[in-house]
Amino acid sequence: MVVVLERDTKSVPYQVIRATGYIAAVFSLVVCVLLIANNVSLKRLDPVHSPALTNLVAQLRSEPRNPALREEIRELDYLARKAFFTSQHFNQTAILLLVGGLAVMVVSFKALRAYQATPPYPDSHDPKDDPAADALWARKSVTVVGLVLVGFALALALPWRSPLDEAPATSVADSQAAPVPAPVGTAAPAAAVATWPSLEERQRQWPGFLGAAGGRALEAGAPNNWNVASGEGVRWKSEVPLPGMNSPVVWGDRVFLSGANATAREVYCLDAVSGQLLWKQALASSPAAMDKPLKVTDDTGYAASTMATDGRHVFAIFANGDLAAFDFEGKPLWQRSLGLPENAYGYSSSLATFEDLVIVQFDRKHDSFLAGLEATTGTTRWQTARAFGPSWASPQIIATPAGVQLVTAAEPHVIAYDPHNGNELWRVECLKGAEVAVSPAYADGVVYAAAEHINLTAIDVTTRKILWQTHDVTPSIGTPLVVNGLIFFGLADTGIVCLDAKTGAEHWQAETDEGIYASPVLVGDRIYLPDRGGTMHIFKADGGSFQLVAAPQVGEEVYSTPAVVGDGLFVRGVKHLFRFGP
Amino acid sequence: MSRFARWHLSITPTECVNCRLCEKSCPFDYIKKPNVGLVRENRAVGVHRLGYLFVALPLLIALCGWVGHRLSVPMSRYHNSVRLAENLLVEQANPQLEPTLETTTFRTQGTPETELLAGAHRVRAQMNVGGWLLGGFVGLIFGAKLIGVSLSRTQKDYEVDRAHCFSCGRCCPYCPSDAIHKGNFVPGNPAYEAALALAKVQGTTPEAVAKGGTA
Repeated sequence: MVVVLERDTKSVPYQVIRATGYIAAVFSLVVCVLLIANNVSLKRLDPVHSPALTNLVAQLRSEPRNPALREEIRELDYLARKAFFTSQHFNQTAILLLVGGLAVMVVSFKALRAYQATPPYPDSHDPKDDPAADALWARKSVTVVGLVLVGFALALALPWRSPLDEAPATSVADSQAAPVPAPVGTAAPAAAVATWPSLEERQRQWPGFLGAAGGRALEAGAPNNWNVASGEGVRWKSEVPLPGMNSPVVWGDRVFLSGANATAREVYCLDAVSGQLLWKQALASSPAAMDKPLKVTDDTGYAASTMATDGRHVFAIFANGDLAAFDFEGKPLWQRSLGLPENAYGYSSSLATFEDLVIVQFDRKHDSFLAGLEATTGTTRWQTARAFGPSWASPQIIATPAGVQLVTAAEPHVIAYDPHNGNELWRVECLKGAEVAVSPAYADGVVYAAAEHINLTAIDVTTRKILWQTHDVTPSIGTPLVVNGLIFFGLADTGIVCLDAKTGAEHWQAETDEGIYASPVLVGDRIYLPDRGGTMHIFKADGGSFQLVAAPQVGEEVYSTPAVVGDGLFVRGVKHLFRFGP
Repeated sequence: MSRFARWHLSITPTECVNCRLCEKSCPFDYIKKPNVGLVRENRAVGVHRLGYLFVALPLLIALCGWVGHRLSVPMSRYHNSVRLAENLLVEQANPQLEPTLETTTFRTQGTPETELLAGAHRVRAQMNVGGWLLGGFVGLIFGAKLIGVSLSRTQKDYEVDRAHCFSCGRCCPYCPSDAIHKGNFVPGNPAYEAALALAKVQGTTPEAVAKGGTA
């Protein structure tokens, strides 16, 4: 049964509403067309770059004194701008009219629909009233939607290849960079070295910063005097290509040192006998440390860390955290990026070697750590987190009555570790508020730690107690030399100081013309300590008074610590590496 | 979750006279009509279908879980660490590529690259688990929906579709039997007007149409 409801569509209100709606619709359509046309013409209209105006301007350049032309340009420019702004005004007005027309149209048709609304009534027959068909349709719909979604997801996912899939997580099991193959001359590292040089052998050589005996040379044959200008007493002098504050490292007939600037990092090996450059290797930029120049001070530079050797391999680390290993023939073995060390002055901690490990003290603003890496592969054998900020001191391997310890200094603690596994052995808080650049020194069961303008502290390694502390005069950068119950060190401001190792009392202080960044080195009964000006202060290791033996000139500025092997004294100036002696 | 709402509209079976006036009153078509006499499918067919669907449900969950797992790879790229790590690796593999602002910034921060990679792998692993779970859940929903639309039951009365009804109340004025709205069954009321139209055709009164329940 079909029911038809009749409506009075001839009534005046109905007709008025309908007419209003249609008029508003036509009006809106017309306005819309005009608006589009106006916008099209507005886009074409460029009052500043109209061809006519451009031609006239060009003409004016050739006739700059033509007032009629100038007036014509003004007029044309005015007209063009007026047309432009009129169009814009029309645009705004038309938009308002369009909105109004559409509003009237919507309201009218809405009212018309309400007027025409018919109450619902049931149909006599609804062909859709078939639950089974409805269910079938629903199942099909759900299935199709599901298939479409699955297909879309698979189309998105299956072709996707992520580079992360090829960078397995196992390679980053330790929190630092895994060693990467050496960039040049890559070859499998030499067979693992089952043994390592004895302490005596290490002490005969100079395997790292301050050698293997805390700055004490085993032999006393180094020269007291030389003349760089005449060449007297100078075995050789070799230019170092890139600058570096690091000190030379000597093993056998090889001298190693590194140099770097903002963009390049190089390792050099010189013949200790002739001074000839045997090989030079440049480090490839690691992904984590390339491109962006580091901020370092001139006093620190990009290669402040002294290299280290275990007698088979040689290791170098640079200010950008790149660490590399080479064999004695210059073959790159491995290279790691430890990340950019956030460090106010530049990274300067030197490497150390212990048995088959290379030790890295990587103190920085965040995530500082001490690590022992396998010398042959660069794999992290152990790593110990350090909750400190940056420091500039170097780790020292010391032989105490209780065994070998690895001593480090950083604000505010001096901490000793077991170099075999990185386990902490003891710590003493004595460097609070310090910027620690002075490496710890050790002698007779006492560790001496210091920071400029803070203190110099003596710590008994057995009892782990502070024996004494002095605030009067403190080392600045160089590591103190402890010998015969006396402590010797240079001052960055100028001067050489001698203190009593048992009490910290001052024995004497000597003036120097230049400040001292280097650490003193003991040769026989003499101490060698170069100042920044290049004067090598050679004086007696005596507490009674400052007894200057000689003060030969290196001939250029010196920031690094000398190395002594046999009768050779190796000194690095800012430009050259010297070997003094026969 | 409208299905679990406590205060839903409902059609009281004892008061409903099956007048059908409410059938079209719902703008969303959420009033379910009686289906007595309309179910034409063989019951055995429906039962078998349900059985197949229940068997297929775990498979569907597993399939969708796998799809979610595969989708976790591209989806994880929306995580900053993963995207940055991938960019770094791509640049590493293609040195000729111009470093992006993000990779350049990362390199200047000094964070070890491996730390980033480890973090990215962690995120990827989490996304993988999440992909399985989400995919499985979607599969469960699809399966449940298929089962839901395959369930047929005899419905004798008008019922509100509780899963979808908004309880907007638009159907209330149309019901001539609703005690609350009986006072509305007056000229002007849609239900009254509909009943009036039917009454004209049947030669009776709107009240009689409403009481009679059929047109």
